[in-house]
Amino acid sequence: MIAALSRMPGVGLGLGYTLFSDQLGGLIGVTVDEVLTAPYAQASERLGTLGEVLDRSGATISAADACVGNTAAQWAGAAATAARHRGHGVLSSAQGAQADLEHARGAAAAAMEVLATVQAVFHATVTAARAVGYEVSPAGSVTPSMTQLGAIALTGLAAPKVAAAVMHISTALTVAVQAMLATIRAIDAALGVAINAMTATLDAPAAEVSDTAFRLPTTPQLSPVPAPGPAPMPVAEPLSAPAPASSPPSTPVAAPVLDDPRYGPVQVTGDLASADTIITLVSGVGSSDTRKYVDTQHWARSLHDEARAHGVNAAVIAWHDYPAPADLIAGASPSTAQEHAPRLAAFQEQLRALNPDATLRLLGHSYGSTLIGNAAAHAPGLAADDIIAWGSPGMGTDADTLSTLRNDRGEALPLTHRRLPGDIVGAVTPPSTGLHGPLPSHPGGVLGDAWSWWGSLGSLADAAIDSITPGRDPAAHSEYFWHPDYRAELWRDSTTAAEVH
Amino acid sequence: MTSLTPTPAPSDMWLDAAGLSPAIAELHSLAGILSHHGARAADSLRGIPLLPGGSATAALHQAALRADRLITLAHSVDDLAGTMTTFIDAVSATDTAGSAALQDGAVR
Repeated sequence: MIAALSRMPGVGLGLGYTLFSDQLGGLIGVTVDEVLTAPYAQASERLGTLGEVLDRSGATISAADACVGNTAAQWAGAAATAARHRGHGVLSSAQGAQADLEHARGAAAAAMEVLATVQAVFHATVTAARAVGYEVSPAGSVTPSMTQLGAIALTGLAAPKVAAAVMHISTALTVAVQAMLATIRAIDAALGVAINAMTATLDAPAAEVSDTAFRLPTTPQLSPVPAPGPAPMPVAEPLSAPAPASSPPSTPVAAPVLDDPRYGPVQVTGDLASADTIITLVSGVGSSDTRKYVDTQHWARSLHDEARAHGVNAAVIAWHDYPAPADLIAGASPSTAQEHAPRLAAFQEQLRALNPDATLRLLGHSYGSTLIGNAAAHAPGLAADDIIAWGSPGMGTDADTLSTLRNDRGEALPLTHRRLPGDIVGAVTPPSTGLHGPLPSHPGGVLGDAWSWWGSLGSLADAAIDSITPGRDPAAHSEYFWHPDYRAELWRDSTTAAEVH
Repeated sequence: MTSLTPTPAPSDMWLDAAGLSPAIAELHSLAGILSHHGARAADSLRGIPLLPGGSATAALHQAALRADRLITLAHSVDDLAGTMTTFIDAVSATDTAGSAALQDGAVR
């Protein structure tokens, strides 16, 4: 009977059309399930976050540009003009890049609204078709199911008319579904072209910055003076070549200690032998990654230069010589911190031997602080003069041990803990019973983020939203590195930096 | 011996090293922040889920690679600040040497 139905003119044509349309739909290049499951709403949220980031980068660029311009009050002359010209040029490029990305983001956000609307209609159509017994192929063809055809056959004499009506409906649904597939594919393609066009200019190489633009003149004619418009200064011809700067900024120096790092690089910026302060950063979860190495090297370099600009001779080390847990689940185990703490302790000992006069400051971010805590608690006396922990999930030891830590010179080892509001680590680390033990419990040790169940839930929600982007730390958990106050705390004198014991 | 003829510094040239240092520190700091924003922008672009294998997905991924340019530019700002420090140090060192020579009588 079903076979007979299919031979009827109206029904046969309908089936023929659906077969043809299935072939045609395959050419669209996107399947029904792909459209149904495309997370456009999630993408819109992500674009919103991107917009906020770009807004902040725009403000930062403007601030840097103003900063370059303001140097006119302290520095004038040909070299100053060249430096400012270069600075404005680089920042103008940055402004262009930021604007291009913002345009691309805007286009994507607008397209996303249309896509989300089409997707909603698409979802309703497909769901309705399936609900009344039609089958929807991946290519978007809507055909009566065998059950539907069987039911039609039971209608007896009316079967041909019913079958024809059903086929008409399936043909109409096929046209509608495939039109929506084609629309989504077209928007996707147009968006791709638009984004490519809007960001193409970002491929241009960055402006090179070198000292050739404002090299010291053969005969120096400038002299430090307290204010613009200086009183005339005597100018001498140099008796010999100008003395070089005592230590050029941002010069990476091969580590003279622990020259056989086993698990990752030990990146040193500055001169360890002559530094007054040596800052050793131990990073946390996910830090054994080439991209993170680049990030920490840049961070170390910028911190070194910042300290130097304030007249502080600091060396900064990014210590990656342990296999950091790859993710938060692995980071829940204390075993890596326990196992590799002696390695950090040995490294610090060598630093102390190399430069006994330097203040040795250990900085632990996240799980890195757990490793430091283990090193301090289990070594006879850690070679460090103070410890700073950022976003710590616990120092890997008990409260009594934590409060009585001593260094290699028998002195009390000061501990400072910083936690930014909204840091995900707050979800798992109440002050007294952290995932990896307690934190320094001084009232000032936790900045504006007292632990509570509500706060904990908020942090978890933040993390859930953030997990949409794979491979990225929750934002607040990585903001410490560029927080001006926390950075300054690293290179300031230890007597003013430490506040928690 | 080199004879010194005191001449006034040209009025349009001056350098206040102490006053310039905070600006340089600020530039380093801003460069760091900008680099951080660049990395976040790139990560956000990589994380936007669209049609798998679609043109827009590919374009956003490409845009993410291009967003790294913000990081490169931030490094350039950082380099500029570093070079300014080198320059100031060199000028200061020369000035110190010159002053010492004057005091020692090596220059008259």
